[in-house]
Amino acid sequence: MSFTWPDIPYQGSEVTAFAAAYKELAEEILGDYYDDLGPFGDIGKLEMPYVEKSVVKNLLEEGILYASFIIQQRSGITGPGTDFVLGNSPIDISDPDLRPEVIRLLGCKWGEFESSFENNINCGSIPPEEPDWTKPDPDKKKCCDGGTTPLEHAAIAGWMAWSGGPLIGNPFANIIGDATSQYLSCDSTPITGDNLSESQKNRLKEIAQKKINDGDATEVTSTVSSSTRSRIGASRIYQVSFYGNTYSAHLLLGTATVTTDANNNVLCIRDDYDFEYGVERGDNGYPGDAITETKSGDYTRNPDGSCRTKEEVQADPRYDGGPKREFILGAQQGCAGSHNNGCGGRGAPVPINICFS
Amino acid sequence: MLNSYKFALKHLNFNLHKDVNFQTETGRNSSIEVTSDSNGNVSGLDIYDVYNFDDRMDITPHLYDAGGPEDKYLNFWQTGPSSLDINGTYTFIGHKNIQRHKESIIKAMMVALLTNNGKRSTTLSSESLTTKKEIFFNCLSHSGYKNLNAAPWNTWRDTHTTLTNSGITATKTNGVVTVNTNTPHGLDAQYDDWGIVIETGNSNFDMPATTYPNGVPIKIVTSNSFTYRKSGSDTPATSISGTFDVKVGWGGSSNNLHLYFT
Repeated sequence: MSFTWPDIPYQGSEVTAFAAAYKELAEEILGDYYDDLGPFGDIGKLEMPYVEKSVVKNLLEEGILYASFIIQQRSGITGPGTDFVLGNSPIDISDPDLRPEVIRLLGCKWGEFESSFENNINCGSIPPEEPDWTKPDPDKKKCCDGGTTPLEHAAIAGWMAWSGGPLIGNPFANIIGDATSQYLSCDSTPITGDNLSESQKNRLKEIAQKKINDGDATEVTSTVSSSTRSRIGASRIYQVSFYGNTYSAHLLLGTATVTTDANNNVLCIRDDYDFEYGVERGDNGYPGDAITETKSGDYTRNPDGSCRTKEEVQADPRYDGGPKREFILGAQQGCAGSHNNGCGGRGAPVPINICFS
Repeated sequence: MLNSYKFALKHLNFNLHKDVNFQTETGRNSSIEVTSDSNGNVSGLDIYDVYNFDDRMDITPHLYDAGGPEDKYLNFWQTGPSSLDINGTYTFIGHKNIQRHKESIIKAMMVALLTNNGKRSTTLSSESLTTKKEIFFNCLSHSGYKNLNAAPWNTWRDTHTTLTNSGITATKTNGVVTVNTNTPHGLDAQYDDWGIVIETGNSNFDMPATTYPNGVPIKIVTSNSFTYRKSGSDTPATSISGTFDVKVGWGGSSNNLHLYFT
């Protein structure tokens, strides 16, 4: 994947030097993105819109003109684009697809086209009417008496189809959706390698292995008893963060435990699919072990152990908001009862124990 | 890639009927001019537009919150498209998101490449390529991973000048606040990248740092007055006191990119 740089219609020593430096740095940046394996290191810590190589390439390519324009303006040099008269515009109109005839072929009138830009919607379309699953769910009173609510089911199914579709192409969409359904259905059946395709397992293993090889993982072997290490078949144990990685593997694993042999070859990934703002493992089992007891998540209780209201959880600075968390929090808050330390709520951790051959 | 995506990436805004700052400052609004032949068929088309950063003061990377229908899905699941190179309408990220993502990339590149955190500078930094790359990534990092001791976060929101409190009055008319200072504010009118954080306890005028961490753009009127935009009802001249921290951002009319497409 290489850049196709647009022409920079500005002339002058400063802008010329800047454009050359821009291209050099852009090449260096793009080189840190992996073609198929997703982002690692610094890139793995980026906000979501900036983790995909193809997207960042497009943005860097198209950004150079405006960045150069600013430099030219600061340099005080006149010329194309800086002293505007009609016909002295820096915009590249060499792309035949952008000729007006093609615009008209988009099938929308000018008012619609303008409206689409102003409203951030597709040309000629209107925002879809769809259920808003961030609003109070009428079925939220449902406790662990079977399945997800219809609204949750529709939302998860819709997301799986969208995220696993051709645009997003998330290879873990099905397993993330299944894990969420299980959690909300209070189904703690473990997710194992049998639930994943070979391709999914290979990708997860590659991510974990590279993190360990790159030193981007924390070894915790000494903190785990020898009996547990023996039981789970681990010579070494690492904490690996899957946050920020492409393919959204963090949505399934967050920060997970990765076991290896003595030579750091990845053996298994172990985790619990649970939430600090929902329901967590309440027994003393190791991540990935069967769940025997649950508790209300740390964020949902006060330091003295009393249960928090939804508003109190939302006010916790660790909570950090967002509709996804509201989704889980809504289920946690949606059912009174004596379970989960007396805080009630719906949801159950799902152990994950994925081993590789 | 969708043609509409291409337009967005080529800086067109299509703010055709909006009384936005940069259009007023250029003295000409965006426009589309259509000519027709004798049979009524379109024979020509001219688009005029002006482009500037959506956020002229700060450097916080844009996420998915431009108001499009897909925003909630993208944010809900903390995910994004693996490519912009689509031709269908399966999922539409939105023009504004794309433009603002590009702007975040541009800002990150300028901060990484230039001296003085990219502010008012055309001088290339002497830092190594590795360091520049780290700065670029630091600009776009998730809040939990930012290195606040490195560029841009270590100095970007530094206060340039704190205005003295005595004798400051403010009035608001038609969504424009005019601030008059008792003594000269000392801000060089040759720059149009000034901004201000105002925290006085008067909600008619306040622009707090929690909402505007590097302030809101101001326009220097005289050596003793400046203006900024704030919605709300008109407010008569009022004496105000509190915090008046002047910041430096990216620039207003100096950064207006004029576009003409035919």
